[in-house]
Amino acid sequence: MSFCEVEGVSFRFFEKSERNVLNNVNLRFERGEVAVILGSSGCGKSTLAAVMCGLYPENGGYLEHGRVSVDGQDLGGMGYRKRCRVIAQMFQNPDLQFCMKNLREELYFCLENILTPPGQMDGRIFELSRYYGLEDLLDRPFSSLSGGEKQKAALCCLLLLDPKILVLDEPFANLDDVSAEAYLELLRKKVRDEKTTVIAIDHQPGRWLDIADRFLVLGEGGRVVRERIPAEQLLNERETLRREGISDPFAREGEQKTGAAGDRGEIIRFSGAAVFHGRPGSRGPRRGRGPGQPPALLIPDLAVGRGEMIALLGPSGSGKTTLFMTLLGQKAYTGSIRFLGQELSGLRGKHLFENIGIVFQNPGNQFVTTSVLQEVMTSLKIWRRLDDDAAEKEADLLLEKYNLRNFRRFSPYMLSQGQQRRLGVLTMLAGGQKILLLDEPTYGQDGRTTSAIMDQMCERLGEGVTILFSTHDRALAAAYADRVWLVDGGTVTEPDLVGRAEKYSAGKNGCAGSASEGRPLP
Amino acid sequence: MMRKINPTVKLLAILAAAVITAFGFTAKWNLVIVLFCLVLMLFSKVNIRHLLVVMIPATLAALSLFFAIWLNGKGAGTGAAYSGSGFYAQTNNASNLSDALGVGLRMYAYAFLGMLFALTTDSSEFIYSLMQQLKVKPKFAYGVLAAFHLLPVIRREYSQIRLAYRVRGYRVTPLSLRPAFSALVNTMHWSESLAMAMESKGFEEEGERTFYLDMKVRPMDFVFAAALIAIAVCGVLRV
Repeated sequence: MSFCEVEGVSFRFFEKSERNVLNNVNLRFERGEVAVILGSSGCGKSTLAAVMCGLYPENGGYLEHGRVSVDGQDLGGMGYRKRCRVIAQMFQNPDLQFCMKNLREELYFCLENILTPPGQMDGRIFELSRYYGLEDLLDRPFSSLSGGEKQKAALCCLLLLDPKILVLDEPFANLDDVSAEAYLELLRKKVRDEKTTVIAIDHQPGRWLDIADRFLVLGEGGRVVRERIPAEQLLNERETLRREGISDPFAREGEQKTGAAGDRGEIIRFSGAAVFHGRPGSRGPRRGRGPGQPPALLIPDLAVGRGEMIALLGPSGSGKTTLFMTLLGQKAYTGSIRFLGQELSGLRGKHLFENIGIVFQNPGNQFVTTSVLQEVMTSLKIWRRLDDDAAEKEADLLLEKYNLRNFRRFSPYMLSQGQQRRLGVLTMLAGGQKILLLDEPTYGQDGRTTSAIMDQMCERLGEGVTILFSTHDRALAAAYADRVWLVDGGTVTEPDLVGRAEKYSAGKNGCAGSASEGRPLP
Repeated sequence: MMRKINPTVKLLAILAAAVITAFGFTAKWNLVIVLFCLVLMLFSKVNIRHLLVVMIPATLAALSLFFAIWLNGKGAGTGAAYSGSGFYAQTNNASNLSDALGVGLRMYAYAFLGMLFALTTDSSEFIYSLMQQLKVKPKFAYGVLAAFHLLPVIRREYSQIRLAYRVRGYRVTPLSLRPAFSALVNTMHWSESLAMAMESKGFEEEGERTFYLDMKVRPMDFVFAAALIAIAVCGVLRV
C-alpha cells in the first residue's frame, strides 16, 4: 500500500451536471517524494488538490465516489484541525491566503487552530523563523509585501503546521525569477531535511527540474496520461507535453516571431519623462516647491513604432504597471510623452481611449454586460456608433475571427481564462484602437493557451496594431517581441541588441530562461 | 495607556457614554468629554495626523450645527425654558450661544469618543477580546478580521475596474453603480478562496481553539469605564 492513495475519485461541481470534473481518478504517492502534476488549464488539477485536502466537497460540489487516504488513514470526514497535520494546501492567489495583519499573527492563528498551548507559540515561531531565515518577514504588514513575499509567507504557515503532505497549487503563477528562487529555496530545505512529501501543481515544469522526483501528466477529467516521468526523462516526453498543452521546458528556439517589424513611423515618443505617484493634477510634481517626492519611474528617450510589439520585463513591482497607467493618462509626469504627435497630458478620457486599450491580468474586471455578443456589440456601439443590427452583424464577424462565435450567448464569466483574454482583446480593439496594452497576458496560462494568445497578438500586429505587453517570462519575450524594454530600479531601458541576444541564448541553454540555475540538461 | 484597556470594556463604556451624551446638553460637560478623550489619546501616543484627519469632517458637522442653531434658534437671546430633554425639544428651543455651543460640542464629543476607540485599539486584540469576553464565535470574529484586512485589495481592484470601464468608453462618475457591482462579484469569489485558505490551515468554524493572547478584564478597565460614564451622566444631570 502506498503512503497516499487517491482511489476512484469522481467529482463534479453540480450534482445534476452531466460531466465530471474529475472522472475516476486513481493516483499513488510515496512518502518523501516530490511529485509535480502537469496538465493544461481546466484539466481538473486544482480541483483534485482541493478534493485531496477535503476543501471540496465541504465548500461546494458533489463527490460521487472515491476516497483519499494517507498512511492508511481515510481522510473522509476528518476535521480540518486533524487534517491540516496530514495534508495542507497553499493557493495561487497571494492576496487571498491570510486573515491576520502580518505573518507573526498569521502564525499564531495557525498554532491556535491546532490547539498549541499559548506558552509554546513564541518559541515555535522563533525556531521556524531562525531555521528558514524569515526574521525580516515576520512583522511587516501583509499589505506591504510583494506577491513573492506573500507566497513565501503562505508557505511558512504550512511549514509551521508541518503536515505530512504539502500540496502547492501553482505557487509561481505570478512570481518573477528572483522571488520564485527564494521560494524554492525554502521548499528545498524542507524536503532535504525532513523528507516531507510534496505534491505540486503547475503547467510549467521548468522550475521544478532540480527538485522533482517525478512528473505526472493529467489530461481531461483528471485522466492520468503519464503516471511517472522522472525529471531526467522529461526531455524524451516533449511530444506528450506538447499534446497535453504543457509548455515545453526545454526550448523555444524553434519559435520565431511572426509579426512584421514596424517601420511605419513613431506612435509614442518618451523624452526624459519622469512619472510620479498620484493622478495627473492631484499630487503630482509641484512646481517651485522643491524636489518633492522622487519620481516613481524614469523613462529616458524611447520610442514605440507603429505595428511594433514590445515586451516589458522586470521584477514584480518594478513599475511595469506604472508605465501602463501613465500611457492611460492616470499618472502625473514631467518631461514629454508624445502620443500620436500630441502631448499625452493634453489628451483626456474618450479621445485617449479611442486610440489605446488595455487588457488587465484579470480580464473579468472589464466585462460590462452578461453575454459575449453583447460585450462586442457594446464596444461597437460606443466607439463606432453603429445601430443594433449593424453592430450585431459586425460583432458576429469579429467573433468568428476570434474563434468565439460558439460562445456568443454565454456569459463572459463562463469562458475559460484564455477565452476571456481573447474576448478582452476583441472588446478593446473593436473600436479601431491602434495601441493595445497587455498586463501579463499569459499569467496562469498553460503552454497551449499561451501560444494561442500570442499568435492572436501577432495577427493583430499584421493589422497595424501596436502592442506593449508585460511578462515575467523572458523566453516568451524573446520569442515574440520585436524589442524588449527592461523596467528595473525605477528606470525603463532598452538593453542593446547584442547584449540581449547573448543574455537570451544563455537563458535558452538553461531551462528556457524560466528555471534559473536549473540542473544542466542531459 | 488606553491601549492596555480591555477592548470589549472600552467599546461598551464608549457606547454607553455616547448613548447617555445624547440626552445631555451642556457645553461644559461635552467639553469635558472632549478633553478627557484628548488627554487619554495624547497619553496613548496616537498618530496625531490620523486625529487631525478625522477632525476635518467632525469640525464641519459641528460648525454647521452650531451656526444653524445659533442663527436660527427661536426666541433669540432670551434663553427660553426647556420643555423636554429629547434632542428635538432641545434643539428646537435652543436659543443662545451657549446652547449652540452645547450642540456643536456634542458633535465633537461623539467624534472624540469614536476616535478614542478606533485610534487606540489593535484589531487583533479586539477580535481576541470579542471571542473571550463576549463569546463571539471564531467563525464570525475571524471572518470580520479577514474582510477588514482585505479592504486594501478591494480598493485596488475597485479602482482598476473603474479604469477598465472608462477604457471601454463608459462614463464613470463617483456614483456609478456598475463598477461597484463588478467588484462585489469579485469579493464573492474571494470570500470562498479565503475561507478555503483558512480551513487548509486547520481552522474549524465551531471547534475549540487556544488563544495566544489571554485578554483579561482588569480593575483598571472598570476605573476607565466608570470615569467615562460618570462624566456622561454629569452632562445629563447638568451638575
